[in-house]
Amino acid sequence: MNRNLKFICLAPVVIYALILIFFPLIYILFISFQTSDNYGGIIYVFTIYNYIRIFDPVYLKVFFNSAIIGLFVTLACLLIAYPFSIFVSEKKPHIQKLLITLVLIPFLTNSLIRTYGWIVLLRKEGIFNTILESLSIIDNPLSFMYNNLGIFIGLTYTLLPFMILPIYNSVSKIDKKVIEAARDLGAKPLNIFFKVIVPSTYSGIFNGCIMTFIPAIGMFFIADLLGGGKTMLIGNLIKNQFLVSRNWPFGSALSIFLIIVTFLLVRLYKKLGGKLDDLGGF
Amino acid sequence: MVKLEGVTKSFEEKEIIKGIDLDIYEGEFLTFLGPSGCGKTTLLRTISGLEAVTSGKVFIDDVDVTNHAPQKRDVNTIFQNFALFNHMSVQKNIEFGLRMKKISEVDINKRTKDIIKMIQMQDFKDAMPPQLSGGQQQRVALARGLVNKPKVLLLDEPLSSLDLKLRKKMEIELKQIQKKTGITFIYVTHDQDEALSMSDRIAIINKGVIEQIGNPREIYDKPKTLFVADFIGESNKFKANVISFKNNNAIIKIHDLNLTLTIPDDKYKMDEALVAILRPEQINIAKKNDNINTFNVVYKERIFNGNYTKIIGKLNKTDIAFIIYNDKEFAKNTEIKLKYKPQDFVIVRSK
Repeated sequence: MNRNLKFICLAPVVIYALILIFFPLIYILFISFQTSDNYGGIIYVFTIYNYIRIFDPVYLKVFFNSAIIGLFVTLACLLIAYPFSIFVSEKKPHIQKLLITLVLIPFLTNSLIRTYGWIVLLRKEGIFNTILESLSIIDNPLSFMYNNLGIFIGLTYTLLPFMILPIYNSVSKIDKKVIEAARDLGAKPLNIFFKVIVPSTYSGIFNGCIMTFIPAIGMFFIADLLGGGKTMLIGNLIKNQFLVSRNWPFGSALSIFLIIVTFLLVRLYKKLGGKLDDLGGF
Repeated sequence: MVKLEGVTKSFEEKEIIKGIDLDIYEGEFLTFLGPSGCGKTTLLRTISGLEAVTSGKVFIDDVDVTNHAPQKRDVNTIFQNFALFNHMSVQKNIEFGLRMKKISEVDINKRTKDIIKMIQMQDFKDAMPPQLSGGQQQRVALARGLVNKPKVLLLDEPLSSLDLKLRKKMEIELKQIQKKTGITFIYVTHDQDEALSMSDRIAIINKGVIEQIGNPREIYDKPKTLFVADFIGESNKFKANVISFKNNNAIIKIHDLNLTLTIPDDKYKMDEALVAILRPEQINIAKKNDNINTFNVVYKERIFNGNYTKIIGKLNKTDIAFIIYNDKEFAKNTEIKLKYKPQDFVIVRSK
């Protein structure tokens, strides 16, 4: 392909990335060092106050809560996605395709709408409680939502595909012969799993964890809808700075901080010897 | 060392192995040779236990292991694409089997060190498999199996992913290692050169049965079936028929050569169609005054092969191949007079 043609083909992507990703990011980085006025405006005076403010105990508590919920959600997704991926990878190719398509189908519906769907299932007079009561398993309705459990259920449901895809990707790449070799060398099933299968899928596990953990602490509408606004995650905090408190500089600083944390996690993984070959976007 | 009794194996109603009985001796290098899809790899896997037999019995060292999992069989396999653990260093790969057997740390270290020295990979013991060349990976795979001192080492086309030069080198190395360790090797290949150069015995497998088993010389010189003759080396085939019987011998006639041969009767029927086989190197250019056991062919083409040249000539409608070791040129359609020795013929049934 000649150079001009190459340039023309790449141009839309480059323009898209510049206008919708790169410039906005630069702008966010820029205003995170500016001062806010009391009416939601930005005063163009350089300050690092926004970054210092992040370490205020009030906000640290938000980070801590987010991290805890994020970790639980990530762990739950991992524990569901891993066995599922192994199950799928052992099926015939066309069944594998079907199952993975089924995993992707929820993406056809807006995730906000799907979250509303969960309200129907989880609320006090909801389907779950009704069924459990009619089966006389419980006497009084359980509180599935408007608490951290609701956030946990909602996030785990929404983010599960992001865990399944990278893990399935690396699990399905394992050469069956390697597992046979382990059996042949005398490894029992548990050893095969922990010494051969899991280590060969570290990159998929890490990728899935990142893809789950970061959105988990950044998604605000699930915490709003299913958590009843009681628990604030980083995502809610950032949203509030932009839409409620109208403090764009502080919101920007929080966003940049979240990006840095993500970046450091990836670096850490690389340093631990991880390969990024199926990390795709990173 | 290994004994198979009436082993069969079916996949979804399709019988891949059709009742194989086989005795494999201690310390021998036995090769399963056959075209792809003949069942040779499946047969190997019934010995390792990676494939359960449909019927029949497998014995290793006189113990019935038919129902033993691969973990419990004292055999190791070298896989076609090596199947190394890419997330472990060379040393960790080699140690793996020993660690699974809960052998003392001192022993593990000693045996691993010795085997790494034997395969001359001391400088690479901390390397990861993907960083190694094909030949090095091959040696690690071999060491990973051998370090366990299995009673039998099973090799499933271990050289097929290497280039020709390396393959030739590894053939010699494999044979030397087998001699040095005295471990029984069962080797699977579709490459007759590999089989002929390394094996003590070769089992020719076709469509799930053993067509013939014997040492490489027997297999080459005395093929028992047309399939074996065709599969090993090159054959000139002449149609022949049984024309009469005499004192437990069958008299056959090779029509194209107008030759009759007397062969021991192998329950032939009158007029039964047979094939008489001559190897290309058993046919020579006749001298002018040679008159018996000669025939003429019409020159068709030459195939230069380095240290020899193969000439193809036509006898009636059949192609006849023979070998010359000089640069002699022939004009197109020249008649060439060839000679043979009647005792060189091998007679097989035509199917």
